[in-house]
Amino acid sequence: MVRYSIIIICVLPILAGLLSVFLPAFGWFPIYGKSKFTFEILAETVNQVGFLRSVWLSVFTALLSTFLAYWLCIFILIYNQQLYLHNKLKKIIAPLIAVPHITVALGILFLIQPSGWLFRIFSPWLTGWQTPPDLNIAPDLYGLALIIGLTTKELPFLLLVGFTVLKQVNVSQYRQQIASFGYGPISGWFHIIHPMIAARMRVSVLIVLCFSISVVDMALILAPSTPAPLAVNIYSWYQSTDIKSQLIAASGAVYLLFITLCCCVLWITCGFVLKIIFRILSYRGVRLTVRGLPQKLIIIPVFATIVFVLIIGMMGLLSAGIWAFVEVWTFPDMLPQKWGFILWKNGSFAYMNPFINTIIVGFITSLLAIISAIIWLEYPSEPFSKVTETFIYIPLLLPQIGFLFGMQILIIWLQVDGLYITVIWAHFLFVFPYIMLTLGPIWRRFDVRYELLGASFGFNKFKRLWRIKIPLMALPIITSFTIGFAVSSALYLPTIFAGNGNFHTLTTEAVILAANSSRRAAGVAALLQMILPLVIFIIAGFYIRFRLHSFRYFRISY
Amino acid sequence: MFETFYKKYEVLFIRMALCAFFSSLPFYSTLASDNDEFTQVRLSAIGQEVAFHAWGGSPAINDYIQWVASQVDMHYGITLNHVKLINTSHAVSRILAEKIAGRSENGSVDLLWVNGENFSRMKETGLLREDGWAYDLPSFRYVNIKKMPDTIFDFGIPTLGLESPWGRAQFVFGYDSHVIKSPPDSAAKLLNWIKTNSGKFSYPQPPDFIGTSFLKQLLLQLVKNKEVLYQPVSNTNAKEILEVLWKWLDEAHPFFWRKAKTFPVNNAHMSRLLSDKEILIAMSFNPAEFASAVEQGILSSDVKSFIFKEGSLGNVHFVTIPYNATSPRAAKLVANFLLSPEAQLHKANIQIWGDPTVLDIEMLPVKVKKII
Repeated sequence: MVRYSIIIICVLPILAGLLSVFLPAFGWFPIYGKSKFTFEILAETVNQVGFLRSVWLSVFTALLSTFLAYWLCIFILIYNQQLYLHNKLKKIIAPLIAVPHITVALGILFLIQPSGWLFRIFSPWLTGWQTPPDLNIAPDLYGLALIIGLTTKELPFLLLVGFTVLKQVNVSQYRQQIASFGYGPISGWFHIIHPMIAARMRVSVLIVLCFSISVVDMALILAPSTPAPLAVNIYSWYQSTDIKSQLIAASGAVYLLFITLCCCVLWITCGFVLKIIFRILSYRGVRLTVRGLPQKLIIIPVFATIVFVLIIGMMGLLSAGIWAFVEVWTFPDMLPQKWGFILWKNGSFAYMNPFINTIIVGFITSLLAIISAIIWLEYPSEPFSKVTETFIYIPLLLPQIGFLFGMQILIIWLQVDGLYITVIWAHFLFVFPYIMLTLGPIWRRFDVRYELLGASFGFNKFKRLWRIKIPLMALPIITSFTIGFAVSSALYLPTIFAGNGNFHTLTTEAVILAANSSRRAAGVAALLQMILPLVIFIIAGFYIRFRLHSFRYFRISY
Repeated sequence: MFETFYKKYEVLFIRMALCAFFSSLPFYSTLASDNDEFTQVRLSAIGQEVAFHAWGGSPAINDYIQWVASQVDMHYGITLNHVKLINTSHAVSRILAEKIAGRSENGSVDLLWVNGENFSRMKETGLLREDGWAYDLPSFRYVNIKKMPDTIFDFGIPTLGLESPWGRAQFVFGYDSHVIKSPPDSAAKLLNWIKTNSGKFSYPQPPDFIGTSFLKQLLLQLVKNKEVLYQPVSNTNAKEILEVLWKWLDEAHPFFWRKAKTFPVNNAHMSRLLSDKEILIAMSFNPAEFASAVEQGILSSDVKSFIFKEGSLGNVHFVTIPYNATSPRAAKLVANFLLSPEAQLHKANIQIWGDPTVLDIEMLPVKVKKII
């Protein structure tokens, strides 16, 4: 029953959203006087100026950034145990996961553009530049800045998933065996551990890949615009005022969906091929063990990249933080000439209402999503569960603006627009898949023996869940909760579409602020958006520590 | 036409605005009372709420709307909620969604700030209130439609009273006076300047509003026979007319910021580039934007503004009421207040917003003139 209602709650708006993309793409939009099914619009979309180049740009940036984020993550996991990276990295990645993509993008832009912080640090004493050089970086022509931005934002997310996955696989035991078979740490990893890790991380990586293809806010800032990636083009077609563009935008969204599918298939195929190669090597007894200098030659660049990516991310956030307290800061000064609180003075109270809204919506949505996810995972025997489960990821894949239009029609038709509950519903659609993603794989690999033990005490299903499974799963539950909260607090379009524009969260305020031309306003906006998810992350961290303290004599394997 | 008018009377404008601001003479209240029909509207609108959807990216404009809210609350008992948009198309698509879902009343938008493009799309799709309400507003009597026909034509489309004029935009450039001693105030001079100062100029990429406006401004300068620009496109040979524009752009683009391989995303991005001195000239559709940005400390005090000598692109912006507005009467009252001499002059003050009035100063009531 509950499961069915989750399905209805999720699938209904998704269907409405899909219809609002697919019908116009095939030329059906009666209110514009178009009610004939044709393929003309799909054909016309391909003929738009620079269409193929934007497709290529989308595919290239998404694949490369996902590739980088994934393999950097894997290398960190390989050396996690030796270098005790886990605890150090956790502190660095938390703020990067918590902040929205747009904050990271603005931070990186300020860092690497010709008038940016990096150039300010080296100018004019080293470069001799009194005015910023006219260099084609950030945005550059090949989308490299976008790739850096996406990698910086996605690596922490994958690491978070990776660390939890690592706990499920008893790595240290395998490592000893691997070493005794004569494999080095890297080759041993690829032969034995990687297949297990890869399978558990697959869905997360695919989500990252899909997100990178459909990202708009980050691409608007960091990607080239002549032409822009396809998702950005779709966005501007949707915002364009003439009716034809609306239809073209919808058909562009259909193409985007198709491209996303192709990229996923490509990714999975490559993973499969890699697996086959290593299996063959294993059969033949080939051990690609590298030691000494060659090993260093692999390790040093990889870790240099990791350090580079994380430093860029941190410095980007730092610069956003600095800008919030700046009055004057011009090129080529390394630090602001004048500090101040201009933007904080007027209207610090104005943020009270959005602040409370963000907390309430974030908490309720994440909590509901956690409960729904647990129910979903506990009763998985429906015949169509596989299909519906792929369905719930659709909100993350479709371009939001097209998808939300259909959802908005549904909401208005149901006469629930502008209500608190509707905003929560809209957020739920985006939070739920992330929670399923982070909680699902771990939940499904829960050690059955604990449950059997509980059953032997005569506990019923609910009591087993409440007394045994949930307490033991506290760590992953809280981790997904914090991610859910971060996702909810960063949502912009769903909030204004479901809330009639009258519902204010810190993100809606921040987006308005950032529309202002001053970078100080953008800095304040970034801080506003950063602050709540970060506080939740920190509180969750303390709670987990406290919680694990009382379980320290247990051997919990997730 | 208007800019000379505005320039000539600029001091007067400010003085008037200051007068309006400091004097507590409620001269506009006499305006509404002498129209019986409108008194009815006034009475029926007491206590209603108006959702005013308007772009919210400028603190100065937001503050002005807050001032309007306090005024309409005081005078009409109307609660005005400013719903801040970052893109007007969001509100348009909301109204469209309401139309598709069949909500023909109790819509979420009561009053909407629109530009010509959104207006024409809304008009085509039947999203507007079609009773020609704008002409019936008491304040509309100070609009001189003969002298300023752009108050009833929005981007060439007759408004038919479906939207009420609110303010006047003028295309201006901002430049760094520390580096540029005499600003290039014609298309030819600008081209020369761009060629000698490589990499210091760009414009927001169309379809951005400012970007397209810049191209229109250029075209207005470059085309010899300006008459053709006021004809419907179908009557003219567009390809031939546009030739001069493409030629100018082809010549200038290689010397653009980043060699025109990429463009600023929007106005805000361009402003940031100006403050970083990556570019030295920026543009805006608000005559006061650069002055107020300097005042707020966003731009350095070296930034000043200039316009093309031969004249600059003007544009009237409007407010409109959707077909399904919840409180259309109250929305009309707000539109009427926005158009009233008091609100218009307050708006024209460079300290407040600096958006020139759409009213004809000559037609204002004697009382107001006396105050001036």
